[in-house]
Amino acid sequence: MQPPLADPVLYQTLLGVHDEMMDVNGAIMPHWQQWYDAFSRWSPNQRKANWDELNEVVRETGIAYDLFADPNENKQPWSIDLAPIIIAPEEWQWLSVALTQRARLFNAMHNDLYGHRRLLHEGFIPAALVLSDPSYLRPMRGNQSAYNGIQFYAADLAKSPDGIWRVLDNHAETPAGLGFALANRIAITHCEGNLFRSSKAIRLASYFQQLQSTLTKRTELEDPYIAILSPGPEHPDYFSHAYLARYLGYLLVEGGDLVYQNNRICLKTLAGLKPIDLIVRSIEGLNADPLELNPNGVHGTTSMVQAIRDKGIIMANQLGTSIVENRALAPYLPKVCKYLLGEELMLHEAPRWWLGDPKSRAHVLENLDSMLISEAHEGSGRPGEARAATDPTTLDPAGKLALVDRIMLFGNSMVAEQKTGYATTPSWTGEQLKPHPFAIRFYSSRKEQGYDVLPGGLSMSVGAQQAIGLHSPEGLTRDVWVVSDKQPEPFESIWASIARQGSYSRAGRSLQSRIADNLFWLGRNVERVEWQFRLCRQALARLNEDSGPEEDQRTVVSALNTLILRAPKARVFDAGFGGMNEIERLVRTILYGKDRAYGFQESLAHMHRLAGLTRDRMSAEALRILNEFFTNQKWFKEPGFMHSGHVIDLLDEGLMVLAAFSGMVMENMTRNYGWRFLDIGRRIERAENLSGLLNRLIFAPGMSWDAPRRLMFILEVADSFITYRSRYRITPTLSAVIDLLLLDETNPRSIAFQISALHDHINYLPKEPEIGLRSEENRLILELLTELQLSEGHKLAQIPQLEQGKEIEQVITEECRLEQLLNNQISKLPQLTELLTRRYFTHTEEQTQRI
Amino acid sequence: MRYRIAHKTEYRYSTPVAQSNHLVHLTPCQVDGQFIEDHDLLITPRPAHRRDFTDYFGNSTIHLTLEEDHTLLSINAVTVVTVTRDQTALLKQSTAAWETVRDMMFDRNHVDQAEFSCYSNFTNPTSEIAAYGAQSFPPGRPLMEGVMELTSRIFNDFEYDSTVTDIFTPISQVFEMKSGVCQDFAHFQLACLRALGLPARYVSGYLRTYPPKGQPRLVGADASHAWISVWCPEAGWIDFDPTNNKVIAEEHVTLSIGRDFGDVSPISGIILGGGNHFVNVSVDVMPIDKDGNEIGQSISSQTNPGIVMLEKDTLKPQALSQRSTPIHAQEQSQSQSSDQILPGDPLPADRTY
Repeated sequence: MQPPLADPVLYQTLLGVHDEMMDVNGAIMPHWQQWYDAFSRWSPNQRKANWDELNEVVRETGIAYDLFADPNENKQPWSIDLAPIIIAPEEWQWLSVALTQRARLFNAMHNDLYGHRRLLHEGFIPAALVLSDPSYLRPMRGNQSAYNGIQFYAADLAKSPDGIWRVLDNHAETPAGLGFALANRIAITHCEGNLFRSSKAIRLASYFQQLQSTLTKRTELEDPYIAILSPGPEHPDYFSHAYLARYLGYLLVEGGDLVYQNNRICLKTLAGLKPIDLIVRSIEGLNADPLELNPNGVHGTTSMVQAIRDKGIIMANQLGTSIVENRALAPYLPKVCKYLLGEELMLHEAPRWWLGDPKSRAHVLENLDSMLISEAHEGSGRPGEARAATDPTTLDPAGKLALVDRIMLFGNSMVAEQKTGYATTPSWTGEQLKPHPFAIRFYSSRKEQGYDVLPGGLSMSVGAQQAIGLHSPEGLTRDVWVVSDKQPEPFESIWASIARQGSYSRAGRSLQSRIADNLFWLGRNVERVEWQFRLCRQALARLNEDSGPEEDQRTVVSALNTLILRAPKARVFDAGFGGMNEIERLVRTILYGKDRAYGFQESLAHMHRLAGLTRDRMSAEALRILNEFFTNQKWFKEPGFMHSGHVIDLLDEGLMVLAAFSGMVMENMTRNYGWRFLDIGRRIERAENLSGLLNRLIFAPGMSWDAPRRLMFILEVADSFITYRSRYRITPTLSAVIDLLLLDETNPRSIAFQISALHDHINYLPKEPEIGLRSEENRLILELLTELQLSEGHKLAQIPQLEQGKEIEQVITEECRLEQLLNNQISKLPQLTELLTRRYFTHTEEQTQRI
Repeated sequence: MRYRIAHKTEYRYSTPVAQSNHLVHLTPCQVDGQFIEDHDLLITPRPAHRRDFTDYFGNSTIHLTLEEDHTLLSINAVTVVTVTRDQTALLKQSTAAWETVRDMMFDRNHVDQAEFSCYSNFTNPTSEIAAYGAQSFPPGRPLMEGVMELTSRIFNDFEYDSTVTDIFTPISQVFEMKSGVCQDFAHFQLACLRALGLPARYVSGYLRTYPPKGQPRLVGADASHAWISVWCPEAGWIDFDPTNNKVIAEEHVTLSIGRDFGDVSPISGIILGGGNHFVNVSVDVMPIDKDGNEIGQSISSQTNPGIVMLEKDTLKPQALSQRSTPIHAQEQSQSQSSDQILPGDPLPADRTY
């Protein structure tokens, strides 16, 4: 049967350039057929809807969520092409064998270079090529064992215009963005799941199961403690590290979490130091140990090398593996492959020359204009971010001279590659499919015998050829589908296999001090935003009623000032403005004031940062909920004219988001230390806010203390009005309000409830065993709780009256139990924060110095 | 000549150090013409963990971990060594042209030498430095003749001045100032030679010093020394001392060998806590007779010449490696005032002069 021709309007290839989907006759390749048929049947609206949905998922999962990215930097955000790239079964068979061969080759090469170095002594690789590379970590020589080299190997492959695969770059340092590939797959199957299945594409889960079981076996333990070591949230690949950690069920740690003790690398947790068995390294080896490696490298920990030397830790990949990434090794690989493996090399790089070799250098200098000149080793594992190479044709004569000078002096660390073009694959522009140059990163991972190749990968669009490595300024990625001609394997979740093995992740048992700190402040800031919203909302709602007495406005101003006044050096807005104007001004200040302590914008920024820092500890859904605040402009932009009705709607919407987040945390988060610290933060914040409001509104001078409307306002802000009405059915009285908001341990909005929850949490936290007595924070919280429990509402409500002839000041200084109690709460709660910080968080801040 | 060498290092901290990790290179290596008779290393307080091993370059190395709070760390190394060598004789044997030696670095029989023809962190040249070095190597000139001349030129063109540089002064700046100490001269000469593709390595060690005529020797007033070693096919490694314009003989005692100071720093360490710290280094190279008695007279020095007080905020973080990623301070430290030291900020310990 004649293969059907493609709709020429939908897709046209470039003349003389190989295309993945369409052959030279304009026929769709069989393995693309399913996808193409479905795609061409989609109406333009469906395509648009699918594309929008895909980008929405990207935004929500936070793949493009470059936490600390400079917003001024004009970089294209991460995006996923609606069109995947599809690989046929025959081609995959060949590719996976070829990739496995390369993984084995690079591992063998690594083991030799850190062992006997026969490759140098037998003359297969020039010594200066390897020994001039700073990523050759000398302290690691002799610390290798056969099973200990490259666990993760990835190769960036592209096709030349003639359709032949070639290697752009090799990655043997870290898992090199494996989390991105995984996240892309999850995003695209979310939108095109049916297509994925009908195309008979292979799932990724079994690769990760194999990886887990291999890593476990490497430790020779049943239940090993495995961690992924990341440089931290400032690193552009942090998303990938966090995503992978969550998927595999491993701890995500940073250098600051680790310390060397008893020849082991230990994790600093709330419950003390816990030795780690295996580290999945996502940091550069050079920066793993400031004592024996780069003195400025702080991504690992001091004495990491010593721990490896005496086998106190297993590192995957081993420190120093990045030496085999050196691009100048390429011309020597065919012979090295034959020597080490006894096989012909299957996959090649484009022709390259090491510029440290006099003959190669001479050749390159003679043919300079047909070359791209680049560093032999740049170490960027970030997908797409290889540096642009120098194209000599773009240089002026002076620039060319300088380049030649550089080659003469630093040739050892430079490489030249002959310019070669790219084949294309369809890419969806939003209106049509267009052929686009592409490259794919393929991942492989070591198993007991040989390597497993991930049946998929991360494909990126490449620009005009400017780099030797994978250089993709656009950030346009696509998923890679490998089509199987076999019956699909029964679906098996990665989690199922863990349960069957009878092993489980220990991630829940201990918590890094750093994470505890961040969760605590996340809890506080989420609660703070809720409080800001409630306060502003009730303030505006009161005004909308329009009929309220003037005292209402004073109540509202006073209440809003509780927030304004918490900022250091804050000015109270003088009452001169009066009424609506002043209230609007206060609400504006709280919601949109820039750099305003205790203002919404500040809390939002904190929430954003802390959500990023703790994202591997929260469910993906919980973060997606919060993402609404970080990605939707309406939370930052101050409206010119403030229509209070609109603002109330906005605040209501915000409160719904917060409620969804809280619900997610309550329902989905395990009751581990992480949850406890999140909740401790929330409880402290809520108790502080409420006692501040009560204190101010009940004792503000010049107001009669029991005005029911004011009490009603308090009840509304504290979200307890309905409860009050259903329980007391009377106009609010001070004694009933005190009972409900201060003393009632069953009301989740009362101060007593917060204090009682804090009491439980603090009792549960790990203690230093030698302390037999109650710890300081235990005593403090017990004091606060007891004080509340022993109080009686009606007695507290007896407030000295403003009698004839008595000054206000006199009344205030008179003994008043309620005021004392509130003041005690207001002053002791910050102390509690201080104590918790000192006991559980601070040791992460200890400074190291080099001597 | 026989020596008893005492190398004492004391670190004092203004606040207790909770944990410290050190790497120590204070055990002299066995090289031709140098026999280590006795060696002892005393460390207080007692390390929680000590591991002796041979490093990549063959130097005896010790890794130490101290886990008790301490405000004083002292490391005393005492070595008795007999030196019977005079490398000036070797010079005559070497006739190979420098280009021959350079080209040999590409053949597979000279992997171990080729290592030292590559740049390292402290020896990255500039075109100007390369050009300065190349003047001593016209085509066809025997290697050792060129090295000898280069040694003399550095000795004559550069001023010895211990106040203008520190451990991290780049050689481009040393070249600009034309002054520095032995370590700077050694690094500079290594860069010159390596820019030509020649194998040359860094040697740390001790130098016998002579008191002014008629005066007794001052105990503890010596310092660590550094020089270079160049390889030739006829005689192997020959050591040159650019600070003193000579080929080494019995006055030099080799401690360790590497690509540059970074490989052989006598003591390096990372400490947790400690506040400001003070380092006191004293080195004493005492010539002794066969019974162990001092040859000549000496008096103990009254001053502590080696005391260096380090103010933390005077030092800036250095980027030592070409490929090091920028340090991102943790969020906590972002809010700290600028006089706080960043993690990994290097502070010089003992220098070689």
